[in-house]
Amino acid sequence: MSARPDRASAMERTDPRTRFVVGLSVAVGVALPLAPALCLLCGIAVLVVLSGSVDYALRQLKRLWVPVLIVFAVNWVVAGPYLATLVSVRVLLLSQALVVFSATIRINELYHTLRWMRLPPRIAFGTTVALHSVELMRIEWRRVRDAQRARGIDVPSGKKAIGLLSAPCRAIPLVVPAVSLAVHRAWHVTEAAVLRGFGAPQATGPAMLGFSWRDALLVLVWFGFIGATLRYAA
Amino acid sequence: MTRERGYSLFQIMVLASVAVLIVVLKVALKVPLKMPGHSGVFWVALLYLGRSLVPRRGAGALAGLMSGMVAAFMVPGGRGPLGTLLQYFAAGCGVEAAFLVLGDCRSWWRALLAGLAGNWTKLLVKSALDLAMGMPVAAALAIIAYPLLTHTVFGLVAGAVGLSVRRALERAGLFAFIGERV
Repeated sequence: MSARPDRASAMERTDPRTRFVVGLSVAVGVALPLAPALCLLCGIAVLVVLSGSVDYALRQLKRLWVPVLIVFAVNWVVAGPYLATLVSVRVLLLSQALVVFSATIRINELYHTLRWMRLPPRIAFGTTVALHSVELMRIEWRRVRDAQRARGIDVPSGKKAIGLLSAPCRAIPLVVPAVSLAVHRAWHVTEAAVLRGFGAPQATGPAMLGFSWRDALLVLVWFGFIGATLRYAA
Repeated sequence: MTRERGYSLFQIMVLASVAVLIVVLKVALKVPLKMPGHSGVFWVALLYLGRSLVPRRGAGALAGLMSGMVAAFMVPGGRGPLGTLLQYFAAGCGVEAAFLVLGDCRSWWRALLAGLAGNWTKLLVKSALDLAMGMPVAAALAIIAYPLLTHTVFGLVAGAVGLSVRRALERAGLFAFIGERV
């Protein structure tokens, strides 16, 4: 999720709906043969650079290299090197689907994008609030953990929590107050939202989304590229 | 709050809070076990809990969808944001299916089955994605064999954790608190 309102990349200046469609279209790569799939991977690399989310994509790839290695080795043994390479490239492609969207979307854009996807307003609002409150919940979690530790409860952390069954058992005294706090906070947010007119019959939100020439250009170039790749595959 | 046919805003906010907790606890309670499916112990347990806190048809799937969206943005797994979204949603659907078939999963064996259903559907989606990418069935089976075992164990543990937390919250009066406000 983007946290750089002052340094918007070329992709961040486009409409989030365009980024969503472009990001999702990467998933067609799972049905392509090797050469077009590699072309698509190169295209995604360009999109990632344009969106300024190289670090994000690299973190993704770093997390993925062990599973890809396993997939590659097993497929090599079962079906040979061509299929092993093909499946590995497709796994990489799938891992990059929606990366451009999730790395560049801002929380205030998300509500409108989710509404555009025909999600009910309450669910779109709930999801947006959830994304807003992740950091708050992390702070609350740390408070709960510290409080329980002060009461002498053994908190599972790091290498100490190596036991298969002991870790979940020791986590229960932490999870219970965390859930209780979360539910009470949910009630406060509900009250605040209703008092501010959420759900009122004629409530309107700011019209933030707008399709500009940048979006038209991106859609034309990207889907032209995908079309050429599919034609090459055929 | 007025009673309405769909989910009330408070119910949605409870599910959203559960979704955030899933993402926060996935990172905070990272158990250093290099075994597939171990993280499901906490987040499938929380999906079970979300479905218990909001006893409405579809609440489990909705909790899965919302946690999938939050996770896709905050902590996308190895399969990327799309794969993460699908996996969480599938786990939510698994828990939901268990509640629909078994009723309110308050007994131990039902809770264990709900946890198992959640963790298995997550694995099922992973395998379905592998097959969709052209992986031969033999390779997919070879890759799934060990995770199937670990997902089974951790799914059962997730059900047990979920029920333990649920009983503690019932004793603490949280269910009554929600019931008064829906």
